[in-house]
Amino acid sequence: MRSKVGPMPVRANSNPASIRYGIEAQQPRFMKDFMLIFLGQDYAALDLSPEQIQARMGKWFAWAEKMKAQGLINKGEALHSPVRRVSGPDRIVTDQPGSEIKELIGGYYIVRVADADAAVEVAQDFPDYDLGSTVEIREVVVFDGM
Amino acid sequence: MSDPGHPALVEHLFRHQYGKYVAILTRLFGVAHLAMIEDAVQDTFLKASLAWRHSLPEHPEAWLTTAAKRRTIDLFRRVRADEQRLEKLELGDISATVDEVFLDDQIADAQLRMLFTACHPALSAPDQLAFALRTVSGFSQAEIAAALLARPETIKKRLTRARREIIRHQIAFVVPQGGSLPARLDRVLQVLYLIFNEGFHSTKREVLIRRDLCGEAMRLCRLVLMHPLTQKPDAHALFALMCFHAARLDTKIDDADEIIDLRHQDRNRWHQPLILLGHRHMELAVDTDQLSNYHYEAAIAHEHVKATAFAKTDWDQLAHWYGCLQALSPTPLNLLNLAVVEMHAERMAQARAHLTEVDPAQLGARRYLYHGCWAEWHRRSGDSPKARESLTAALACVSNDYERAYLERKLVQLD
Repeated sequence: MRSKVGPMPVRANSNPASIRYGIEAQQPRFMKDFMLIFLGQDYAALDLSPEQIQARMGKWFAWAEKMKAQGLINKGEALHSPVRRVSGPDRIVTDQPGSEIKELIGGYYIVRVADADAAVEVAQDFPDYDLGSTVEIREVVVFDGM
Repeated sequence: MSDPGHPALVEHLFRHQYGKYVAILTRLFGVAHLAMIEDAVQDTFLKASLAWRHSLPEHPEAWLTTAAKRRTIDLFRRVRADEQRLEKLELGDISATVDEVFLDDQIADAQLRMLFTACHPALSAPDQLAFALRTVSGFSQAEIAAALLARPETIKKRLTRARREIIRHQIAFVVPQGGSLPARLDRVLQVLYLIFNEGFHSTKREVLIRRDLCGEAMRLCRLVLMHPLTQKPDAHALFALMCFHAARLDTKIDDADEIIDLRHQDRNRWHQPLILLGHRHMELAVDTDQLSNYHYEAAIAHEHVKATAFAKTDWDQLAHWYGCLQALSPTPLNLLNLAVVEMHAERMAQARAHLTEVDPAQLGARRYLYHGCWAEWHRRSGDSPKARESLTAALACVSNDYERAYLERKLVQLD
């Protein structure tokens, strides 16, 4: 997936680690991964017409194209709406249709940008703010202690 | 991954496919399963919208159809448990049956059945309209509410009632044949006429909704014209009328979203291909001994699009057509129009005769038009005080803001 990341400024040999870490080293070290998490109502719970669904999809598609063109997307997925939850010491399993959840996680993108402000900039094009949806931006932790 | 040069989706693809799939599935499962069908079709589009977020399939329509077929077979499994009729079908037969009903001519046939089902006399006129917009045209409740200037809850009630009545009366999912066809076809044409007018004559709706309503009415009218049993002269006349009106649609509204009247529209921007299409249908429409309202209204609309300038309008010919229309179906509104045309033709006595014949009480909310016409008559006769009196009366009963502004401008011009 990483090889998909497009052209971006690379400081040649600016970081000695880049020599040690092989493939990883191809990535500019000053960029970070941020997860954009989409929270909102399930589309199925809203009275959207086929026309509106098409229009919305067009916006999602345009957004993805824009991010691809800028080489930002590292990964992204959409999620089906039914939820199965396992919780508590007794590992209680509950099933819940997504339509009953106000803040359902609908999907995510991981984008590679300089900082959280840049991630906020990317999130401007998220298509569903008008439906009351939210984008939560979280920096991805880099496991570095091995 | 996606091909960056991939063309965008066809405009209204989802809406049109929705109507097709709902009609096909209704044909397979029967109207009793409409709620289940609508949910399933809606879900197919939601799935597509998720799957296509990142890249479009090469053939979106084929993708949708495959998904819809798969969904249909799932529904068969689900429904089979409680319906004997379907029990006879083996799974092998099912795929063959499903493939067959998804063929193009079968799709058109199923949609026409849906339209005729929507127009069954067991449903009230407002319910027919809402139901057709939902099941044939794939409008949401909110969109129908915006289109018909009703509250969403009202539309929800109408749709629920329509579905219930269709089941209660066990309305067959067919284009009726024989004796009941003419009356039902009349009703279908009326509903299409209403949908078109909601789009064309409204002053309150968004431009997009107006255009969509006109487009849908024309698409459905074409569907009626494709079927050998329903391609009647009246339907051709209605389609011609829609063409002549639609040719002017884009010049009817200015940048501030205000209506521009016929006199001030940019006639160079009228859409000539639509006018030509209207002509072709008019030729097919006159192959009858009995002309309908649609014939005369199309003739009237045609007189307007024919004139290269407002001053070149053939008012005599218009007076003739309005006279025919009034003779066929007398309404106070036709009389008012007749009076206006006579005024333009400078036959003030005839105009006055028509106006005195109108009973303003019958005009209901459009009573202000009656006073407005009298104001115009007095103004043209040089009687400013009386014109002012009539305009004041018109202003007292107008509810539409645009019309109010128009009347107020007239009042200022008198001074």
